[in-house]
Parts: sequence; structure tokens; C-alpha cells
Amino acid sequence: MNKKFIYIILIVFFFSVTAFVVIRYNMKETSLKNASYPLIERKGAPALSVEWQSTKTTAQQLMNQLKANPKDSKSAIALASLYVQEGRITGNYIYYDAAAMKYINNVLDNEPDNFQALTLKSLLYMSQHHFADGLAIAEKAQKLNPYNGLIYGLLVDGNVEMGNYAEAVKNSDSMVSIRPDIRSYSRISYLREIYGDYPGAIDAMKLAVSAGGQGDEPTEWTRIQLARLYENTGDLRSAEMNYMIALEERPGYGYATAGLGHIAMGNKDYTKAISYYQTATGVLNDYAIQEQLSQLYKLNGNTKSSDSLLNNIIDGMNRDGKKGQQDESIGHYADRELAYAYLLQNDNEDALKHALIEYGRRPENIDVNQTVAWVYYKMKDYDKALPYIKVALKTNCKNPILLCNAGLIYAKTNQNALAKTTLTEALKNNPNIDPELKAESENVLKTL
Amino acid sequence: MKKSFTISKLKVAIAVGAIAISSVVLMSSSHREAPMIANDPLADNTDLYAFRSPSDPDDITIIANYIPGQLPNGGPNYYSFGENIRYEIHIDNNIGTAGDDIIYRFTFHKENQDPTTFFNIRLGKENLKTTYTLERSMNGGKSFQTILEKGIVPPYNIGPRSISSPVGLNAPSYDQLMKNATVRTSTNERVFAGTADDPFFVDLGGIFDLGNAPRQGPSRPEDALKCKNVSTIALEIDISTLQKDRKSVDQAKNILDPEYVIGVWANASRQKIRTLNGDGTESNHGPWVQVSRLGMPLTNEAVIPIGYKDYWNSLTPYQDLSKLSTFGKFFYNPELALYMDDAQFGGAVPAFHNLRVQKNSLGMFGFGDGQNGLYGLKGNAALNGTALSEANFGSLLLPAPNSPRSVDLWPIFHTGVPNLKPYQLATGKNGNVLADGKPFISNFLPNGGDMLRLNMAVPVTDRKSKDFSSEGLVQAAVLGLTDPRFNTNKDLQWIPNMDGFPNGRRLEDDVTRIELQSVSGIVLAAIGLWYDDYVPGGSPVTEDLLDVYTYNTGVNANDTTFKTDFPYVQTPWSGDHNCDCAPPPTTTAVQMNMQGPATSQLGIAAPGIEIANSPNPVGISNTLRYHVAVPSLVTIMLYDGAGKPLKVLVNKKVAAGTYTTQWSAAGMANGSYFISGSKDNGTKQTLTLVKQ
Amino acid sequence: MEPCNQNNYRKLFAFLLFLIPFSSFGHTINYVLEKAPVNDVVWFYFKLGVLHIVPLGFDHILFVISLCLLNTKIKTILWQATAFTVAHTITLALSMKGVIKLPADIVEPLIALSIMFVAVENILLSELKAWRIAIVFMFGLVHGMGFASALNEIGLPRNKFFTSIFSFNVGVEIGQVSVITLVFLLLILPFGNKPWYKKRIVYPLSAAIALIAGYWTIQRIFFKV
Repeated sequence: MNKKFIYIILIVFFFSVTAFVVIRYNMKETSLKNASYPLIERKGAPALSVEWQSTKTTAQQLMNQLKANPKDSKSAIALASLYVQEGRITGNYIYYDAAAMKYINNVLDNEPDNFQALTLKSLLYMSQHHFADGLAIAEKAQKLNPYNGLIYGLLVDGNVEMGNYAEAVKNSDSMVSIRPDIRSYSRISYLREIYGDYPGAIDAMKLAVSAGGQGDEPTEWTRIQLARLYENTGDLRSAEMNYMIALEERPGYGYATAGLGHIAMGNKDYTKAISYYQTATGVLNDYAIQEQLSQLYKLNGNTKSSDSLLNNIIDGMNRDGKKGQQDESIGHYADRELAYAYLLQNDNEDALKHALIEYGRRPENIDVNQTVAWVYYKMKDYDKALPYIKVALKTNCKNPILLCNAGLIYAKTNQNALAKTTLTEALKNNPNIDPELKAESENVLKTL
Repeated sequence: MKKSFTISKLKVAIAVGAIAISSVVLMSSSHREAPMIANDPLADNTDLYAFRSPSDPDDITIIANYIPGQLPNGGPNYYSFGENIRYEIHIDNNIGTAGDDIIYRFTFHKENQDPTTFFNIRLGKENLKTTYTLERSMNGGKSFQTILEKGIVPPYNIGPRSISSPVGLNAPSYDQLMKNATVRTSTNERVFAGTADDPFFVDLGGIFDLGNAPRQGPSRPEDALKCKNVSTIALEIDISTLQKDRKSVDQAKNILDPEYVIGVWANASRQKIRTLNGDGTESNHGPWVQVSRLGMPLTNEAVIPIGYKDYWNSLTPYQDLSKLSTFGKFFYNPELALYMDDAQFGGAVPAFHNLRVQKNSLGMFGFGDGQNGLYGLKGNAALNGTALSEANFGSLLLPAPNSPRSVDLWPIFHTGVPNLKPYQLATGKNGNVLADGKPFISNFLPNGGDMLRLNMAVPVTDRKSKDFSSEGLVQAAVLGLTDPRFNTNKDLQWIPNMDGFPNGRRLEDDVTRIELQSVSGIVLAAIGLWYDDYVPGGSPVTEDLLDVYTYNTGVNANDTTFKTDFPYVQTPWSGDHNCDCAPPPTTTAVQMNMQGPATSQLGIAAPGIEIANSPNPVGISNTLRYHVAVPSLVTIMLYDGAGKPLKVLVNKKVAAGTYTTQWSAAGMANGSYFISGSKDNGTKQTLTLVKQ
Repeated sequence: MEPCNQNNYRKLFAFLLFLIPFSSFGHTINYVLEKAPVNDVVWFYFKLGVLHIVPLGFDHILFVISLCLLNTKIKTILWQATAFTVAHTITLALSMKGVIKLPADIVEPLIALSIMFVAVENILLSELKAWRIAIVFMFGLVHGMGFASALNEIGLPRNKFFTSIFSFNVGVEIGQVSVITLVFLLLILPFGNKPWYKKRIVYPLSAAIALIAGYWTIQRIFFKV
């Protein structure tokens, strides 16, 4: 009798807890689904722009439209695009990409073949570094509409990231046939760089810059890339000139400020570089920029600031990653970036773990192979580094950092001749790269 | 009127994204990736105008605008024409030759005169001095001749300090800079290339964002282009240069001489480059690819779906006809018309409340979404001598059932309209839509492409005349129907504003309003296909017609005046201009003295019987529709090609109304057949059918 | 992309599974192992399966121990283990195929709850009833989805999909069998026939397991990391 009673209680308890779990989850889902994502007030220069006012008004109008008619896919897509753009402007990708993804998924629930929604979803996945997913969706959308430049852009990006470079070149040729413009020229430049052709990359990037309206964010971003190309080929004067033009054309532009900081860093003027980077991190929420700043603190002897900033970066990236595990529709894979951050912290074990996770996602990508190789190098496991760096060099990319990495690995694996040619090639134009890596490469080259 | 940039500024703004392009370069994550949804303002055609010059009526002025939405105080971002882009104006003057006949090509070059400063203008030097080369082809692009070199683009109108002060350019005035930049080519065209006030006007916020023009509710209509500048290319060309046989305008047979029709379109192209050649080299000089084009206003915005814009922009107008199955449907059943139909989404757009499409004109013709329009008449002998007959343009204008707007919207955008029945005013038609009426348009150039079509023989309307109207040809039609100066006969007569849109396009023409009215069927009404509330015997100027005619968007004129002489567009807004202009000019209630003309005068009467059969060519199972306006005895017979009666399809007394009946063509040999219907053994109508 | 007709199955399944809203995802793809030889892949997933029970899957271990504690009959243990295995194999495969998808927010607390349930039942029951098998089967379905989410973190090679799932599953079985063998060797064989076996071993052990599982349940519902 007693036992039976307990048994009944047990069963009732079991079902109530189950029901509780399910209902709680449902409520959370519903609230997530109905969550509204108000625009967050901007800070810094972007807050002062006239366009911010109209963005706010438009967002409000679109939200009202959607409240009145939740199935209004046009407004949902418009709002999602607005969030994507706002994420680009403010750097708050986590918040705005999640917001955009929510509206896109709502549209796709009703219209699985909505071309625009598929395009945006692919774009969001790419931006979150979910490249395989982004590529799959882009392929589907391309079949629905093969006459759209944007979709080929997504295919280029997806294939580059997945390491299918030959396919990416084909997509890029299709893209430029449909529409030669800033989007296609900049991608051609990137592919040429991957295939080791810096002069060609610079030519194409110049075309890209000239194809954009002066001062528009995409144009100035492209100009920053042009400057980067100049830095990698040792033409610091042209690089600096382009950073300055970008800053003039788009006042307060964070990437331009950071670029000037990078030039200062190359000139070993760390105080000036730090101040540029501090300004840039004030308007941009970009871990790469913060990472550079942390490195600069270290170079300037301020280990404390360097460590605490680095900890912040790693925490931040881990937090973003975790968010991805909780809400599977969105969440930024940052394992490759984490690997580099852990390397800076001399935490090689964690660096390797994250590098290999990313390698699992896209083993054909040259950047990922470079990362794994470099982590192994840092762990002094040179033989393991070798096969990875060979894959990283498969497209004949002449990026000086890559070549320095490769040369150093060759040197440690007793391939002195190869090390010598590689390091000579890497350093021949005196590129503006990480001073520590450069110094190490130069020293090793002297011994060869 | 590709206001896509402005629209997106108001609406979505430029979105960009995707791909860690910098991943090789930057050592760590960057969300800011290669441009993805970037707008392309430098190669963005915004508007195209073509009109007979008011100050020099022997000439035609063509104005092509690019780079939308330029704020006068946009510093430091002062846009100007881009390098590595071909800006072109194309002219087709001869349907007998394939493609373009005349092309004007502008290429721009920027020279950094004073690299020590980024300020645009200082001490007589412009930081980015822009010049251009103008080439002309008179053989459709086979060869080009340079007709102007080092043409000057005036600097951006930054403000008096930069323009007219000693530390600036020290110019007497910006107007003077514009005048100096207006020059003659070696072949006697006048040309100007530079910044100007954007002559277009529209309440974009109302129209495109919310379908809300005129705005309903508290917000005030606002010209989205108010105080905005645009980059203008203007050409003034002698009519004899443009006319296919080099005839001057004096040699025109009459004011609607079809030999004087030109089609005009503008585009922008960039060079395709190869990513990598097989041998590892690459080339930066491939074929030129068109990235933007413009003919008729609003086609791109209002009609072409977003995902198809790249494709549409890459086609020339001469390819439009072959892509009819992709793009034609957007004209045959325009999406906008759904918002003018209470059975569809009319309720969703209260601003269009007054715009309604004929769904049952004359009791038998429906132009609503998916209705048949005039298709029921296809092959009918009654069409003989009209543009709709198979011998003429029936295959273009009556292509298929359920494509109601193939007779008005599609030709207005793609062929122009011939001075042929039924495209004449209802004046003098005596109620028979298919009869001769009063001529009012002749800009037919049936190449099927999206372009502006202008009959250069039509005289200029004096801009100061009280008859001048931004309603363009719609106003000419209204005058021809209602004004005693013009509506007492069906003779060819010059009616004011016959030189207005859609016969070409003048700077003043309110194209947004005219196009919305056209979508709402006003052109159909002008030729006698009255609105549904027309009662036979009553006045055709019904409430519905008045509603459509008096519709306006709330922004009906430009935010400033126009110049009285070439290039007509106004001096650009200066960078220090405080843009709080007076409220936009609105014509709240269009003053319309449209007294209803007597029905007898117009001779309106419904035909006795109307029959239609579908499909054609006939299938096994066919549907016959017939309509009578009064109770009648209806007899409909099927005959073979030789006229031998085969079958009685209908023979009964019916009440007034529309009926359908099914009949089978099983067992009938291939060939042509006739269906003939009679009412009370009197009035007859015959259809030609084909069995294949 | 799954063909559309699978939608119906998915919906049906979701309906059966507590009427939970869900969205479908394909499995994660492991691109590295697509290039690897089959032997390596089999070995990789087999190891992964074992590791997922011993030592990583402490919760699964407790569940399996609980199954062994009902009574000392070998038949009882085998019946339950079989039901559990069949069930979790089904959901593992279906989850990996993307046919069903339950969020971890639900699966994880339910796994803890199921351990608690079985442990408490051990105190109340001593005979194998048909419905105990049914319950174990149902819990097996839930645990299978737990395995799936673990496997999804690693991803599967598309060209060796079933091979990898199979190897993983075999690994899981080996892990399970070793737990059962250990319980048998360390508890049932030496003490199973003792009169105090229930009182001194089954009850305290089950109570402890129930407590731990209860703690997990609460933790996984309210304080998930």
C-alpha cells in the first residue's frame, strides 16, 4: 500500500517535471520567437549621422507593419537587412545577426523558396563563419535564380572558406560577367591574392575602389583592403595614403584608424599605434582590432593591460561561441580566432583544441591549415606542422605572414634551402607585419 | 527614376556583409567582410528625359541622370561621375535597322590637381578635377568618333567660399561655371555634364515604403529629392541629326508623322575582368558589361522584382522582347494594380483608394488581374484596320488570355502607341471603341524594348501657357475629350501637352502620377473603355474617372524651377544651402473643368453582342463567352474554313448579361474555322479560330 | 536538404515526443574524416562511443548501473539493456539524419530525471515487469538524443554516414557492457546472494544515484551552463 502510494507519487512527480521542462522550454521559445529587437543607441561617430535618424524611423515603421501583419515577408526581409547593416555599422553582430536571423526564419517558415530570404540567410551564416551551411543555402538559391550577382558572391565566399578555390574562381568569373562592380572586383582581388598575385590583386582592388561611391562604407572598406595589400607588399607610403583618404572620406572610420595604427606599429611607434587602436576599438566591436591592441600593449611593455585585454577577448569569443550552442540558429564560430588568441596567451593546448575544431569544419581551407601548422610550430611539434603548412601553400599564396610561418617551419624541419627561399620571398619587400614574427624570421634567415 | 539608392536610404540603407576576405591578412576574426549588398551609385541611372527643346524647337534635349540622392552638404563625400565606367545615351530611330542607330558615349577622367589637400577645392585647384571625352557613333556602335575632348565637369557646388572666393576657385558664380561647362561639340550638339538639382520629384517615403501616397495621416508629403543633387549628362541635338533620314522638323508630313519617332535609353557599363587566366596571368580588360539601364521611369523600381534586377540591368532593350516570358508578365498583370482592386489588396493601401481599374468596362471588358482585357476580340473581323488586328500588331498586343494590360501598359513601356484605331481618343468614336477617333499620340517604335519614345514632330507646349500641364499626354487626352476647342471633331489637331510624357518626357512631367493613373486604366478610358460606373447613354465622365484623374501623390512638382535655356536643369543646391525649403508645391485638388460632353457628341453606345472563345487555337474542350446588353435572341454558329455551317453552339433567348457555354472540337480536322454570333438575327460578330 | 515528405514524419514524431516545437537541422559534417580511410573512421567513432560512456558519460553510467540493480537475475539485466540499446540506437540514427530534433534544454533534464526515476523504482520494485521494460525503452529514446548531440559536436563524414554511426553505437555498447560486467563482477557476483544485498547495497546505492540524478535534474533545468 505504502509502496504503491510512493510509486504513484513518483510517476506523478515524473510527469509533472517533464511537463514543467517542456512547458518552460516552450515558453522560452515563444518568447524568443516574439522577442523584439529594438535598435540599440549607437555610440561614437555613427550616432551623429543623419542616416541613423532615418534608420530608426524606418525600423519602427517596419516593426509596426509586422505587428499588424506578421506574414508580411517584404517588411520582414527589409527589417532583417536593416539589422544586418546595423550590425556592420556598429559591430554588434551578435545582437543584430540574431535579430535578422529570427525574421528570416519567420519568412522561410512560410515561403521556403523565398530567394531574398535564402540569400540573406546564407549571408548571415557566412558572417557567423558557418560556411558550410551558408554555402549549402547559396547553392539552393542559385538554382532558383542564376542571374543574380549577389548569390555568386556568396558562392565565392563559401567556396573560398571551404577551400574549394577552383570552384570559387569559376563563381567569381560568373559573378563579374553578370555585374562588374565593387563586389565582384573585390572578390577577384582576393582570389588573385590567394593565388599569389599581388600586382593583379592590387589592380583589381583599385577597380573595386573606383567602382564605389566615395565615403560609402563598402568603398572605404575596400580602400582599407587596398592599403593592406600595399602593406603586404611593403609599399607603406601608398598604404598610409589610402588609410588617410579613407579617414577623410569617412570621418571616424574605425578600420582606417586601425590601419594608421598598423602603420605606426610597423614604424615601431607603439605609443602612437596604441592611441590609434584605442580610438578604433572605441567605435568598432572587432576582436581582431582588440587583439592587435593587446599585442601593442605587450610590445610597449604594458603586460598588465595586454593580459587583461586578451582575457577579455577570449572571454568574449567564448561567450559568443557558447551563445551559438544555446541558440543553434545563430552563433559565431570563432575557433580559428580563439586559437590565435590562446597562442598569444601561451596557452598552446587550448589553441590546438580550437584550431583542430575549425580544421574539422574546413580542412581544405589554406588559412585554417596555416593556423594548425602555426599552433604545432608554437608547440615545437614541427613534424606535425609540416603537412598542414604544405596544404596552406597549395594555392601558391604569397602572403608574407604565411610565408614567414612556412619558412620557419621549414627551418625547424631541416629544409634549409626551402626555408631560405621562402623566408627571402616573405621578407623581400619589407612587408609591414607583426614585428615579432618579422624579427624571428629575419634572425632565422641570417642563420641559413 | 531609379531611386533605389534613395529608397534604400529611407528604407533599408546599404547592407553589406559576408566573407572573411581579410582572413589572410588580418590575423584574427573580422566580421567586416567583402561588400555584398553594396549599392552602386556611380553606375546608377536615375532618370532619363527626352523632349523638344522649349527654347530651341528645332532641337531635342536628352538628359540622363546618374548617382542618386546627393546631399548638397554631403562633404567630404562629393560624388562625381566614376572612372572606368561608360555612360551612354542610345537612340533607335529606325525600326528597320537592328538595335541602336546613334550612341553618345561619355567617359570621365579624374585628375588629382593638388594632392596636398583633401579639401575639394582650394586656391583655384580642384582636388579631383573631372574631365570627359564624348564620342558619338552614327552606325549603331560599329565605330565611334570623338566629338569632344577634355570636356569640363564643374566642381561640386560646395559653397561660395570654395566657388567664388579668392581662396577658392574665384569664379563669378556657380551659374557661370555651369555656363562655361556648356559647350558645343565638333558636330554641333550642345552638351553639359555636371551636378544639377535633381529634377525628379516624388514622395518616395509615401510611394515606395508604404504605398502611401498621398500620405494618409499626420505626416506631410515630402519630395524625397528635395534639395538633392544629381549628376547630369545633357545633350541638345538637332532633330535632323536624330531623324532617320536626316530630315529637319519642317519636313514632317504632320505633327504625328511616324517617321519622326525616336526611342531613347541610357546605360552605364563596366569592364569584365578575368579572375585568373589558365596560364596564371589575368586580364583587366574584358568586354564591357552593362550594369544599369533606364528607359521609362519607374520600370526598375515598381516592376522588376529585386532578385531579377541584376539580370534586367544586364539586358539591352532589344533583348526585352525575347525575355517577354520573364518580364512581360509584370506588365500584363502589374502588381501595383492589385492594390487598386478591392477584390485583391485594395484595402491594404488606402492611399490608392481613388485608383480603381476597369473590371467590367462597357459591360464586357475586364482589365483586372488575370482578366482577359480585349483578348476576347482576338482574330475578330471587327479588329480589321486596327492596331489589334492580326495583320497589324495583334500578336504583340493580344498575346494570350489573362493578360489584360497587354493593350495599354505593355505597349506604353515597350512599343509606344501608334496613331491607329483603337489608340485614338473616344472623341468622334460614336461609342464604338474600335472606330476612328481623334488622334493624340504617335510614338510607335515596336522594338519591344523599355525606352522613352518621342515623336519629334509634335510641337512644343509653351511652358508659360495656361494650358501647360505636368499631366503630360493625359492632359492632352482630357482636353481632346472635353475642351470645346478640341472635342467637336475627330481631326488631327495640336492639343497642348501632346509633347508630354509618355510621348517622351519633359522635366516638368509628373510621371509618378501619370503612371499610377495609367495602371489605374486612365489610358483605356481615354480611348473609350470607360470605367465600370459608366451607364450607357450617360456621361462617360463618371465618378470613377474623375477619381482617377484627380488623383495625385501629394508631390506634384519639382522643388525648384527649371532654367529657361539648355541644359534646363537647375543649378545644383549649394553645400551651405539650408535645406528647409517651403512646403512642396502641391495641387491639392486638381482644378478640372471637365464638363461631361454630351454622349451623342462622343457617340457612345454599347455594341449589340460580344463573343469570345478560348482557347485559341482551339482545344478539344472550349469555352465560349457571350454578352448582350439587352434581352435578346442569341444565335452562335460554328463554320468551317469554307463557310459551311458545322454546328449550332447557341440558339436561345437570354436576358442581358454574360454567359458561357462549353463546346467540343473533338473530331474536327486541323484548319481554320469561324464562329459567328448574331443578336436578334441582326448585329453580327465573327471570330476566326484555328485548330492545330 | 531533406525531401519534403519527411516533414510529415518529423511532425508525427514531434507530436509523439511531447508536442514540442522544433526546427530541423541536418547533422554537422565532419570534412576531415571524409578524406580519411574507412578503418580510421570506424576506429575513431568506436573510440568516441566508448569514451562517451566511460569515462565521460557519468550520467549514462549511473543509468546503466541502475538497470543492473533491479534484481540479480541476468535475464532482467539483459532485457533492460536490450530495450535501452534498441531505443537509443533508433533516436541516435534519426537525430543524426535530421529527422527528429529535440533541443538539449529538454533532453538533458529528462536524462537526469530518467536516472532518478529508475533508481527510485529500484527501491520500490524487485521484479521485472513489462512496463519497466517499456519505461526503459522510452528512456532509451531520450538518451539516444543525448548521444546524438554529443556526436553532433564532432560531426559525421557524409560519405561514411552509417559506418560512423554504427561504429559509434558499437562503442557505446562496449562501454555499456563493460559497466554491466563491472557491476556484475563487483556487486552481484560477490554479494547478490547475500540476504542483506538489497538493504545494504541496492537501497543505499539507488538512493545515492537518485539524489545525484535529482541534483542534476535541478541543475540542468535551472542552472544550465
